[in-house]
Order: sequence, then C-alpha cells, then structure tokens
Amino acid sequence: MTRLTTVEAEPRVAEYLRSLDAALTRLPRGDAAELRQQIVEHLNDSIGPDSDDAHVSAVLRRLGAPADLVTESLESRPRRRWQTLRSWRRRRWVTLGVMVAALGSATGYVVDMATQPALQTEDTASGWYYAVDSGHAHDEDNANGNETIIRQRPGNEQGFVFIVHNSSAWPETILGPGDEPGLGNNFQSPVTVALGTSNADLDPSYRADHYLATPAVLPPGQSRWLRVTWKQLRCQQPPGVIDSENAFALRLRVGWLTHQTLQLPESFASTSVAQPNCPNH
Amino acid sequence: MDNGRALTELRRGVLGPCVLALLEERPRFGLELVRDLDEAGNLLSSDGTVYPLLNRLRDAGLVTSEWNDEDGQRARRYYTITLSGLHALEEFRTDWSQFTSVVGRVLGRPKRRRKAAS
Repeated sequence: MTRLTTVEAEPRVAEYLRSLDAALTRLPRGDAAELRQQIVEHLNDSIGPDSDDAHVSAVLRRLGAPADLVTESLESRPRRRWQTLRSWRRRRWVTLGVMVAALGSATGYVVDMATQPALQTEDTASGWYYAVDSGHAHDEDNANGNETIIRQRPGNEQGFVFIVHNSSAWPETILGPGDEPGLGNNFQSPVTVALGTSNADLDPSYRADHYLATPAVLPPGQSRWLRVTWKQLRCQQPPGVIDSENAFALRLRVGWLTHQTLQLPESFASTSVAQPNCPNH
Repeated sequence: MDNGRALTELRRGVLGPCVLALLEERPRFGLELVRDLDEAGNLLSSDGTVYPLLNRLRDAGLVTSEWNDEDGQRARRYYTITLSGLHALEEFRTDWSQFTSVVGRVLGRPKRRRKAAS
C-alpha cells in the first residue's frame, strides 16, 4: 500500500498534473490556474493518506484525461451530428434518432448559451450622452459609489451611455430595457435603449457613433456603446430629490429570452431644483 | 443510429441545470457535486468536467464560490447558487417540462405496420 505525504507527491498524481500543466497552456493564464487549483482540491479530497494504488488509479481515471478537461473549458459550441439516409426502412428510425439527437443538441445548445458569460461593463467607460448634461454634471462619492449628478431639463431628452462587452461565443440580441415597456413615471417617459454600431474597443467616441434602436445584436467578443435615454417630462417633486441609477436591467436573447441587470460603471443621478428655475410643463 | 452520442449530448445539455438544482438545496464543494451527480445517475462523462462547468456558471453569474473551512477541516471552495441562478433554474424547469412533453409526444406516436411485399 502506498503511503502519501501530500497528494501531489504521489507519482501517478504528479504525472497526471504534469500532463494537465502541459494541456493548460491552451487556456488563458488565469483560467489555467483556476482549473488546476480545482483539480488539485479534488485530488486532495479524493485521495487520503491511506489510499492504495488501486484507489489512486481509479480517481485519476474517473477524473478524465487532462486534454479533455481543457477542451471542455475551451469548447463553447454545440456539435451537430447528422446521419446519411440510405433506405426508407432505416430512414424512419434514423430520422427519429436525428430528431432526438438534434433536440438533445438543442437543449445542450440552449443550456450552453445560457451558461455563457453575461454582458460585461467597463469601469471607466460611461458618461452623460448630451453635452449640456455632461458639461454641468458634478461628481461626488457617496453611498452609491462615484455618482455623477445632473439637473433635470423638463421637455428635453436626457440620457447616459456606457460600454457593454459580449465576452460569450454567441451573438447576444439586446431587446430593450428589463422593465416592461410603458413603465415610466410622472416625471420621465419610458427609457429607450439603443446600441452603437462602432466597435467601442477601436473607436471610443460615443457622440460620433451611430445608434440603432433595440432590438440590436452585439456580436461575440465585441464592445459597443449602449445609450439609455428618456424624455424628462417634468421636474421631479419635491425639488432636490436625487433620482439615482447604479444598475440597469436589460432583456436579452441568446436562443431564449433572458434578463440581466448590469452594474453601471458609475451611478447616474438627476435632480430637480425649486421653481422658478425648473418650470414644469 | 448512435444512441450513445445522443445520450451524451442530452446529458451535456442538462448538466448545468442539474448542478444548479443541487446547489439550490445547499452549497456544495466540488467532490460533493461529483458524487451527487454520479449517484443521481451517471450524469458526468468524467469527474473533472464539473469544474469547467462550474466556472462557466460562475462567469454567467449563476453561481458564486468561496473558501470555507467547516469544523476546522481543510478549507474547501464551496459553490452557492445566486439569485440569477435560481431564476435560470426556474426558467429551465418550465422549458424542460414543455420540451419533454413535446419529445414524449413524438416518441409516443403509434408505429405504422408495413404490409409484406406480395
């Protein structure tokens, strides 16, 4: 019976980890380090000081080939398999088999898409869309973090922009705001969401960008400016109340409808001032 | 017809929601999940594949992880389902119910008998 000091010192485990290290070069460094740590934890939990050779071999066999684990980490697209149809007699069963496999693939496709990384925002990329607002904004650090505050301008459109990044392998369709359309309040119209058409990684100028109203598609691996605008109907009452947003909900489609609430890079706030400086319509 | 491959794809497709369902009961560490999935019915092609899956679920915001040492034992990374994960799981339960109903209807169609050639 083999007595182990640490699990990594066990020769077969050490050999397995060497193979794993070689395979992990295919992953980004952070992902590689994380997966390795998880595998080592698994081995520490599975193999004890009294584990014999047979048990160690069984654990490593069940763990799976290192190359396969890394492939699983990399793989993000479903495989489709279709069989060639030869005769009517086989065709009936093959057709059903293909349908079941396709439905199984579709499920895998859906779940795979559902588990893709969500949209991400970038910490330093956001601002008020209209120059008159950004020119008069004042920033403060408060309970909402870094908050940028503007004055409400009744009868005018106001809004903010921030960068969203699709780090998944799938195009993500942004359908609109997460709330049901038509939800505004007495002070603002419902918000409108539009997606910039330029790759924000290459051209960060949001005012020069051309925006498409949602639904709009964010290609995989790309960043776009997302513009959120509304018409300020009247000054919020009572004056001086600060209306803050530090998170924004979106309706998305990646195969199936889903929702995501994005944490905004900074908190956007607007406030009204007392009459007569803020006349209401 | 390659039933083996079809089943592999089906298992692969449901594994994420199954992990979420286990975490819905209580947080678990990696080996616990592996054992529970195995006990449920051999859902994993290999034990190690649970970790890339957990990382994808974590990146999607459906799961979080933190180190925890219970009762002075060696610290382990425990995985916990998030609110988003709970919502995703509920959506999948609805979709799965409809999906299995559709497949059941297709598979359950009466077989046609062919007349022997005369």
